Amino acid sequence: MAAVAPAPGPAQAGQGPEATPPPEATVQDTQDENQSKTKDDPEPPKPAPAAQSAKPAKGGQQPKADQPAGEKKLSGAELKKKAKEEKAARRAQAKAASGVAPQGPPGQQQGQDKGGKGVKPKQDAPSGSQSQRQAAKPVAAPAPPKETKPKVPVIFSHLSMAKRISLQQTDKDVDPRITLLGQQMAAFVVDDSTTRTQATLLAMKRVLAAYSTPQGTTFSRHFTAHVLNPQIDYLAACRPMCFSMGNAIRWLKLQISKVDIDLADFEAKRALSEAIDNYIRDKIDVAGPVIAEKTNALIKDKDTILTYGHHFLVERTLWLAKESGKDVNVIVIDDPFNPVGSEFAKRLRAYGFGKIKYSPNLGLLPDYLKLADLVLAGAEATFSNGAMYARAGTADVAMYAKNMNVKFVSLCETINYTERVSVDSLTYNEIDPEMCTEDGVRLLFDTVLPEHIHRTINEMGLSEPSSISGMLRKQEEQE
Amino acid sequence: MTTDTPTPSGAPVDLPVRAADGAPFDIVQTYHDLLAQNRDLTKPVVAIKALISLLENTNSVTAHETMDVLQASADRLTNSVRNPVPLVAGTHLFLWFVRQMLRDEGGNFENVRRHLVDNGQVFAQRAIHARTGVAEHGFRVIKPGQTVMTHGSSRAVLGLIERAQQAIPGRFKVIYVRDHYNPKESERVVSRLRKLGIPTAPIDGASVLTAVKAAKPGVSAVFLGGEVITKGGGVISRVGAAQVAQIAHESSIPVFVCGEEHKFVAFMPWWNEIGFDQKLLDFGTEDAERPATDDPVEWVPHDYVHQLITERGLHLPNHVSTTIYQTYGSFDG
Repeated sequence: MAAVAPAPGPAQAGQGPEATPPPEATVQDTQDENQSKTKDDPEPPKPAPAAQSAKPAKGGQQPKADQPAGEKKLSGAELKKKAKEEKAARRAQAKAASGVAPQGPPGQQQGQDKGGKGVKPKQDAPSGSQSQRQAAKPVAAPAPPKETKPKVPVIFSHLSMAKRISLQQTDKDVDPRITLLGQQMAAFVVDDSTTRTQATLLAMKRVLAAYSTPQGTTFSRHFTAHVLNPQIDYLAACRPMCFSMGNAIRWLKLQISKVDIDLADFEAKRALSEAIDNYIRDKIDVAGPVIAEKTNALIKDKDTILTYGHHFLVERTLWLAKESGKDVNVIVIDDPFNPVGSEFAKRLRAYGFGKIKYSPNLGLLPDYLKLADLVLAGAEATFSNGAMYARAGTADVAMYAKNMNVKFVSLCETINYTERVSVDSLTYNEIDPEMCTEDGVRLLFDTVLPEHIHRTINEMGLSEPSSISGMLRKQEEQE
Repeated sequence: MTTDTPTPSGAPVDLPVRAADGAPFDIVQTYHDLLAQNRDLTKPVVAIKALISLLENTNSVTAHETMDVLQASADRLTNSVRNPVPLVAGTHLFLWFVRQMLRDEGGNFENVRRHLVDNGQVFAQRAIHARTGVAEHGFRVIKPGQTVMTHGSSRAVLGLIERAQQAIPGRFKVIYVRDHYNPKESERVVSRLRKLGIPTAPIDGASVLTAVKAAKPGVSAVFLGGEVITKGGGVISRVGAAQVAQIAHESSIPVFVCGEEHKFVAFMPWWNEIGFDQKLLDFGTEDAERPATDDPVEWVPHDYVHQLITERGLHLPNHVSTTIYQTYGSFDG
């Protein structure tokens, strides 16, 4: 990867003249000189926003508009170029099919595909992206029969998934630290929403530190549009943003917009940097221990706690219970597709828990629940109707617990709360990139309905799920 | 006692005798006296009145010191009774209120004390007024021709039924579920309702389900009161209330919890965790006198509660959490 890294540099130079939005037709009409230059230079992918805006129209008209244009001209250079492009495209497809990222000089179709890829992460916003996707498909079909990514059933077509973006496809404005973070997120190394948010904010802080406002602009006007947004787009392309990242970035943008335009650069940066630190401290560093403490108050000596998969809030709570001298039995029901619970169970053993039961899947769940006094589950996010967005499988545990009259407690920091409402697991979800084949698609998350949750604990305390909307409303008033 | 010392901690007046330990003022005795004198006040309000009279009788100077005394007395008071939850509701609210006032007054404790002592009577008046507020907001829930069901002897519920009787005299009926543990009180309530001209049918707890299913044209609403209204909209009430609520919920009959907002408490129990042990279960193999469990209470889960009726109107059960959050800035009070 490192060897290829310089590529954006020269590409940037080549991009220069074309930077003004280039519908292909116009480019063809201009001087051949420019053309030959572009075709030798690897064309860097267009910044996602530009590609997105250009896309729908382009997708629809391209096959028709393109060919007549080529027939009309019939100049030798044109034909030669076209042939070359087609060859390049074929080669690129062959490579892409074999799993290597396309590197050769991209032609029109290739550029198109890239555009498509650049756009795809935007599917975060479900409604718009769907139409884009559908628009893109008919184009891809008549063009060479290529299949790079597995098909997603129509019912899941509004959902997005994490994917690796090679460095060539990375926008030149993306900071290396963000690139690294993006790769980590795409590989699920940085996985849970709170950690992702924290890492994002810290990386943004470093981006901020490396930034200086260009002459003739002001910090608050330049930074968000030209520096922050490309980073966010890139992160969203690597893996769809979680709700807490959305919250944090919205907050960050608000803080930036509040920066006084007369403030010196370094002062603005320092103030923002401090604000980010405080935000992380209040919303993440303090919230976790507070939640663990409040949850620990629910745990009595000799209790049996059942938990599903692994969530760091649950781990912290159990550790605290152990520290406070309670003799607690733990049952770890693992996520069969992502067995994070086995390591968790080993860590619990290391903390000194004597009786740990471990089940690699949801089998015998009712029997385990019979032994349990309390079910603890950490949430990826919480909706304003009190529904909990958590690891796939959590809803099964919650429903069983409700049926068997075992307390089901959801733990979630308020940074992961969203004002959106969800009553099913389909509206908001994410496709598991590892398990997305012709035969089946696995979704990563479950929406646990509020009626299956007995208690919700956040750093504001313990409450019933239906009180979340009131809390969010009040917090909004305070802001 | 200097009334206009701007810095409360500044003047080292001769240290007054604390009303804490061994002092003549006894918070527990005061509470019981006040409770006996004011039969129409709820326990949380009486606890607050007791704390106010503590303020009258202490002469501690600094705010900090007084807060300590108040806190210690509140703890002693709550520990002195078998069922502490209602007293916790009252004393917690009061202490929070004093702290807020101290903050607003910039730490000038003397002003706070005078204000509280002067307004102690107003406070009690307001608490009574709140109860009529509950009746005013709730009586329209009962419509002519309906049959409603109630249990226990909540003053808020009885006030509401009486108010409805004024509005639509004799045009609704009441099924009253008798309290097994307080038979005399149940008789009193039934005769009071009948004297007002309300057709009343007393039933036993054991026949609630049959009565609900058999009543023609059916029970339209269930009204429950309680000592405290817990976070989430549940209520801690006499034993029997939960089964009435569950049966009603099961039969799609709306359950209304009636109570003043000073009964709200940042406490969310579970069936067996209502703050104290009542020894309801007595497993034995010998024939023995049934142990006299005096006045047992239970928690009515908010899942069974349809709406709350407070002096501020009809609300969804999550009104309690929301109010607590708005008052204290956190769900835990």
